[in-house]
Amino acid sequence: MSRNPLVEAIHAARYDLDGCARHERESCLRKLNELLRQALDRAGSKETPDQLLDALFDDYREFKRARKREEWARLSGGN
Amino acid sequence: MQAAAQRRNWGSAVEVILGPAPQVALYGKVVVWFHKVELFRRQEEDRMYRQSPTPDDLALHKELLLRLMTDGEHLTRLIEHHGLLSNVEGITTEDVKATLLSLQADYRGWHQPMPDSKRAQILSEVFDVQKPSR
Repeated sequence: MSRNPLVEAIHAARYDLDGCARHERESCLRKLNELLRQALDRAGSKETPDQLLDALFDDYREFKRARKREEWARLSGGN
Repeated sequence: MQAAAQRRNWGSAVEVILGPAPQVALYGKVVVWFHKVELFRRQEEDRMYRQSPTPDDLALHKELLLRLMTDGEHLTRLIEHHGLLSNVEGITTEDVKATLLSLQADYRGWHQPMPDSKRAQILSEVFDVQKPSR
């Protein structure tokens, strides 16, 4: 299946929120919410941002695993 | 502010006898909570992402998340009452709330998964696919 850039951007924003500095949490959350809202508005959907986030969770988990694998490989000097 | 100035006039006696000002104590609790969240994230990475979590991992993950969320909700209520001390780290009330929302979203994802039919309906509606394309 082809990659969806908006899904990727939502996952990346959520990943940033998980790991950003404490004083950046608000701005990371705002960015995530803007992307969720953008996806919903583009589709004319009445779902909430939280519902979309929950619907994407399984996919996000795989996204996060892949990102972590890259980080672990870098840290162990592999790649 | 007047009360704070008055406390300073009394030097360390006020701190020693009455304890720290509520806002100072609250800021300390917020910092400790952030530490706990970060510790949780590190262990979560190890137990939930490096490997497939066991049923025991899932149970403990749920318990730890619930505790962090409860503490975060309590801190949020205290901050709304007392305010959050301006601090060198630049942490704001909204940063605390954003961290709490992130924990709550993870809790729903791991431990209250959306029914498959609902997920498929939303993804189909928003992205025009049965599963999100990556």
